[in-house]
Amino acid sequence: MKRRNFLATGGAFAAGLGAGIATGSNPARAQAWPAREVTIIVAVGPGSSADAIARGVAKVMTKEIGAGVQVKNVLGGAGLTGFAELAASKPDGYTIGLVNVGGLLVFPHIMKVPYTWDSFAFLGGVAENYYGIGIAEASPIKTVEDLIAAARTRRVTYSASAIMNGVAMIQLGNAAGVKFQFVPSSTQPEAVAQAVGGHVDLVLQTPPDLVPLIEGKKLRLLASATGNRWPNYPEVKTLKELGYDAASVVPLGFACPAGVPPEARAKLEQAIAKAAGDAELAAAMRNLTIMPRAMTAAQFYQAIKSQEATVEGILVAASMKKT
Amino acid sequence: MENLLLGFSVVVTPANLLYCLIGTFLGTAIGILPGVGPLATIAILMPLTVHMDVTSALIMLCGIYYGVAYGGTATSVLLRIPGEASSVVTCLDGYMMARNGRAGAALTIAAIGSFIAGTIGTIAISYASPPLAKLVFAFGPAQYTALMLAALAAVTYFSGGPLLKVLLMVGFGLTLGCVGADPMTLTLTLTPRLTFGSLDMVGGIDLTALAIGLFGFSEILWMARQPLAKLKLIPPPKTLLGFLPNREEVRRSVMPVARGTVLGFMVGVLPGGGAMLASFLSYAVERKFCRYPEQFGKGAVEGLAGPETANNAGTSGALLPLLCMGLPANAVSALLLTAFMIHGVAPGPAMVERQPEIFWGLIASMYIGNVMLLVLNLPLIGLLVKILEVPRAYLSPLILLLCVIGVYSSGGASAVTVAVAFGFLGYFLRRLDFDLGLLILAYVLGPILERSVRQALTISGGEAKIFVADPLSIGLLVAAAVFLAAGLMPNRKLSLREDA
Amino acid sequence: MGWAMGRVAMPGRVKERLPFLANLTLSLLLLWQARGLDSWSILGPGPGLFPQLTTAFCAVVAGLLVLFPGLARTPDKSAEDGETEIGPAERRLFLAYGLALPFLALASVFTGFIAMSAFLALALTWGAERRSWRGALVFGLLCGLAGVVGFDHLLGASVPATVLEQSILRLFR
Repeated sequence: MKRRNFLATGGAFAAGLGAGIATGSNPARAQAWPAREVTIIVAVGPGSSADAIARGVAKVMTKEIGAGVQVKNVLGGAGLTGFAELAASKPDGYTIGLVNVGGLLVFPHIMKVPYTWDSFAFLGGVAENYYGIGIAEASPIKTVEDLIAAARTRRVTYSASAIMNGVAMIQLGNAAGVKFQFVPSSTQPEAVAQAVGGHVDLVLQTPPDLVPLIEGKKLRLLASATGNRWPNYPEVKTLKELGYDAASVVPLGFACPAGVPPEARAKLEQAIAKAAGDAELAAAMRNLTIMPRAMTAAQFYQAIKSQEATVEGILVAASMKKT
Repeated sequence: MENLLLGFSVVVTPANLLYCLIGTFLGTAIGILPGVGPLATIAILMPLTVHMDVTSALIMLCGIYYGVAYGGTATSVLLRIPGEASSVVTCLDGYMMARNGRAGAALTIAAIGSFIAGTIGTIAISYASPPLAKLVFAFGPAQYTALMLAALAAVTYFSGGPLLKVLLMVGFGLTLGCVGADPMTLTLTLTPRLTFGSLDMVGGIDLTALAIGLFGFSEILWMARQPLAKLKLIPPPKTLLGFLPNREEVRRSVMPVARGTVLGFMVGVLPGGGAMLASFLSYAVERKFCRYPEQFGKGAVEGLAGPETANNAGTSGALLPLLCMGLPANAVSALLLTAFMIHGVAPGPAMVERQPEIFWGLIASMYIGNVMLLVLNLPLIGLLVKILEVPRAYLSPLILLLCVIGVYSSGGASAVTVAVAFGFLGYFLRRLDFDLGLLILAYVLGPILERSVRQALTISGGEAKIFVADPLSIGLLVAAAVFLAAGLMPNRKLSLREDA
Repeated sequence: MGWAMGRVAMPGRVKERLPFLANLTLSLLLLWQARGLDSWSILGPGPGLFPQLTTAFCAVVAGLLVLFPGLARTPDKSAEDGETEIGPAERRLFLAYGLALPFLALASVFTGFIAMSAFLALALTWGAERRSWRGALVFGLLCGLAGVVGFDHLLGASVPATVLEQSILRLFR
């Protein structure tokens, strides 16, 4: 962390020196910001759909603010490192970060983290993940009712590569008075393969992970575990439509460290809103089956904050919450 | 056959051939340069391909993917810097071949072996996909546990050193694999393990830092301590075709290449260990089969040909579950899956039926790409071996700086510190004649083993009989037990070899 | 520990045991680190189980080797590798390279890549290997530039960067 602060300070100093040159080409924006390129910290690896979205947004933002916008993957600590780096970065508007639920909702409850909600200023959201319950094609369980009936008589397991995917299963279990056993997987394909091979009963993942196998008749989509039905399988109902108040909600958006000058912040918000409405990005998202969903800074904050009670309840129930 | 012809008809257009060439060339370059990984490159190139034709884009990205496995050999052979994790084994005998003046031969054998492995791998994907893909689903947590135990036991048995020293390295590697946040409950509780309270260690020990430290940095120390007279390299032959292997080397490479191809492909199909496990197993097997086991570690051709082939076969093997099932077997093929999806292609059985031109186009491009790689790589070899003629006064700083770039790109400044620490450790372990390869392998397999054990017990609710519930796991466990038992009788093993 | 000290009279055997003793100490230290972790959790086996097993395994193996160092001897291999006598020239070189490594670790935190390359080349090429200092400096600076421009800018790798590196990078953007 020491090193990164040093970098940021050095960078700011250099920016001061170079400001005249960098903004010279664009006199209309010759005020303080942006004098150099903006970095988006992404706490997941290249290849995930969140990373693809961040890169798409960066492309639109580059055009919008007239300065380079680059994506920097900061991995490690299950995404904690990226979050901590964002919180510790200088609030000058040159460092923003992709925010998902884990960093703000899960980690602070279970361990000491070097940031709080107040460390960040939210800039707006661009998308929301779809989740679905996948089950091996050959399984005798055909409906959610079958599933609940099975869970009353035996141990029913589900795999997922992140706890947030499984929120719907925990809520479903609570609503129906049964328990589903979570088996954490390290990667998305591992979670899927275990369900197809019958090693676990179910899998909770996003469409990019499940679609190839659903199309290949190895998996069935039992229900959508999100608020909406999947656009590519409109006949499969959501858990809510089936009468269970259960949904995994993971909004994707951006935040910067608290204390960024209002002028820079306004421009960032504007650029992100523009990206959220970009047709090309929306098309890319549709191909990845991610729900494009433009959210203002306040809406995005609310979307995450409203999850807090649910997640906390789950963590308490799982006796994972730090004391 | 008809399908394959369709594929070739898609690929053989000037534009697609050009993209295939660009992809394979980039892949080779990335593989050669440490610090520049395929993951970052594909991620950077992906947005640029959005406007390209779907088939062309995928052909180029896949070209990068398998091109890297070719290029990774060069720095391992020439400088003892593992360019990719799967070329760690190449640092052992490939590098020693270079010290013996056979650098050109080593690189040529590796390139030809890779070509054979890549081509046969592609043939296997074209004709044997469905049964092989089933293998992916047969392996659940219990089966993985058994597989990892069998692999560790096999490598322990084959490695041949004093059993306790071998076990110490395995145990140490497994322990290193535990360092950092607990991977199993990662999304629930971030439990730091064996970190001595350091935040930098929460992310675990970086594989690149470990490999470059143990091999690259330790070699610098090793070389510095050698008497100047002993350091004289046997210069590579000066003739035009001097980089070609001689008849003896070719003869000794044939079987390792054949075995490496089969072994590598089978292991590569399974997610997890992939190309790296393939190369280690191949090295272990070759050491056992070789008629000159005393040459191993001193520049045995078999110790280069087998693992290099297995590594490339493993790379093709890992594409199979992606193309046929939409299940990527490693991080890079996961990135390829995203690229597919961005272009609106969902790989899997449905792709073969609905978009045969894309599936077979890719397969055809892989045949062509492998030929391109060979043509691209052979002339490069003459150029690459020249680096050995650079005097140590200039070569050493160059090696150190390349190592720093590689490690820093992968894990930042704290990773450099880790790599330096492992550089010293590696140097002392080498002086004490410990097997460093085993350490790295155990480090890679350890987390898979741990995760599998814990997942299995979570599924069964703590009952151990899940590990012996089906023939596959029982068979693998028996194999593990046999290897371990055989390893306990080192003296008999030695005398047998002397009789033969 | 005390047991091993008692054998100082036989330096050869102590020397043979020393690495295993170091290993045993390290294993016990790690085992002590792992001791506090839960070995069982609600998901089944907990985060502590595996580290406790592996470190205990290491400790047992290392302990055996301390007790019976003969088990680690290889029958056919003699001391030909590495144990050769070295003269003052090699000793000096080894020291220079041995110091270069920690320098790299420090430099990646504090100095940036170009200064690191320049110092390294001066120290090794000029200081240790006795080439001309001018050549060494030019070589070092060239390496630094190649790293920043070639690897960082063109290839997307990253090198330690300070003000100097960042201003060079800006020239290319």
